[in-house]
Amino acid sequence: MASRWQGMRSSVRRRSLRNQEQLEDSKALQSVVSHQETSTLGSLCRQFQRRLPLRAVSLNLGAGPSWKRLETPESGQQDVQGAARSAKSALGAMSQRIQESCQSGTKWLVETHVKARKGKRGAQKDNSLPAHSLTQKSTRLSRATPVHSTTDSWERGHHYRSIQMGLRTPQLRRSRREAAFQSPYSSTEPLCSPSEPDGDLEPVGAGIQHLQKLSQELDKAIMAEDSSDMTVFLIHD
Amino acid sequence: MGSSVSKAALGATTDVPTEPEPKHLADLIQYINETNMSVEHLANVLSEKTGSSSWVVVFKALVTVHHLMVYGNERFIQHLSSRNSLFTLHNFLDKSVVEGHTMSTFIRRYSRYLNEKSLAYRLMASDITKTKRGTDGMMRTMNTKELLNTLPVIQIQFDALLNFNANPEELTNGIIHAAFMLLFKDSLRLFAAYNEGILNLLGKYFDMRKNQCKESLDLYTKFLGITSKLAQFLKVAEV
Repeated sequence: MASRWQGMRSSVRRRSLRNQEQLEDSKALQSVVSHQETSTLGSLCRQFQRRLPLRAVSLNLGAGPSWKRLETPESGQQDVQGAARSAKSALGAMSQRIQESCQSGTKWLVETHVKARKGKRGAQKDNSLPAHSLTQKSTRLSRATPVHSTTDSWERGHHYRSIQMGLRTPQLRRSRREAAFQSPYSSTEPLCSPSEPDGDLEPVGAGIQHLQKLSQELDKAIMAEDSSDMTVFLIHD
Repeated sequence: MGSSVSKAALGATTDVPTEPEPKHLADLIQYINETNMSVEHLANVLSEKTGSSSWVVVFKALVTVHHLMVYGNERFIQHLSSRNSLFTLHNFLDKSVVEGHTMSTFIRRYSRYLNEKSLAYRLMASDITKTKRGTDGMMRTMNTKELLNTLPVIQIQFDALLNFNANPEELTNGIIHAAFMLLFKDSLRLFAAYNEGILNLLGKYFDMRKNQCKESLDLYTKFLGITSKLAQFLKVAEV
């Protein structure tokens, strides 16, 4: 009986010792992890605190119909109405899209100008290719799909900015970020990589593409109006 | 100046409350485009008509001038821009008839736009509504300094155009309707050039100095405001 009690006591003691060791190990691990995370997040938070919030540019436009191709004009008045209609619908649709993109685009223009110049200077030293236009750059970057398996502080910062601006973050980026938060030690990439601001160029690139499309549609409206003028002049002659 | 042209100028600016007759306008266009005769006297006749107390005569004179600026050779607008002063109608008011009050408001706004249009020609040495567009056009190939000087001029002209601010129910006669149609025509071309200038500006943004970036952001913000006002303007044109 006594030996049984002794055996029980020793097993209980062994179990409690094991539990204690496990607890100590996990505490040590947590403190190391939280210290690292705190220092990284802290520097990020300090960076964002320095950023000034910008006023959103709001456009007072209702939803416009999709742009319809201009038909051959029949009379002067109808042509002008058609040109006005097509220009108005193109303008309305473009303005709506620009309204969504200009908030983030304008902010990004203000915040990343210096970074882009530094990055460009560095890239120019290393890269012998000619400089691309902003449109080409933004189109290329907006088309590129992110293939890196880990995130960095740049993307964490972007995620924080996206929440502030009310943008919807793509699922892929969110899942990668979650994976990084779970195991930051799995990252082999540097924490900061400002050379890949793909998400930040998207709104500016989209805005530029809309402006280019608007330019084409305006040209068509002007040509249609010119042809109607010719018709009117010929009729009077 | 030929007697036929004088007749056409006077015929286009009668006190009949209808738009200037197309045949008179066509004669004036032919005179400007197909002869090398001086346009000074023609401009003087039309300017004199804007001194009338009748809103009909004044408005028709302004519409005739605008028509010649749009459809005529550039030498007409070139001459107008070289004058010391163009239209001084900022205090114009015709109280003699019922619609005189309302039409006087539009006359003041319209004359301001025509003054800005002439001034813009003087500052840029070209009519922005007639410049070449496209990737090799004037606005797309400007350098940063020229862009930052030109875009504010376009903005001021556009503001004056949109300030005409007529509702569909205010386009009650042929004269204001003719003025509105000419403004609509200008608005499309002006905005097309403006849009191309903004595209060029955005392309050059990351190569600019800090103070240029600030100016560019201001210009871009104003562009967005003008875009929304233009949409309202086009709604009226559609009706």
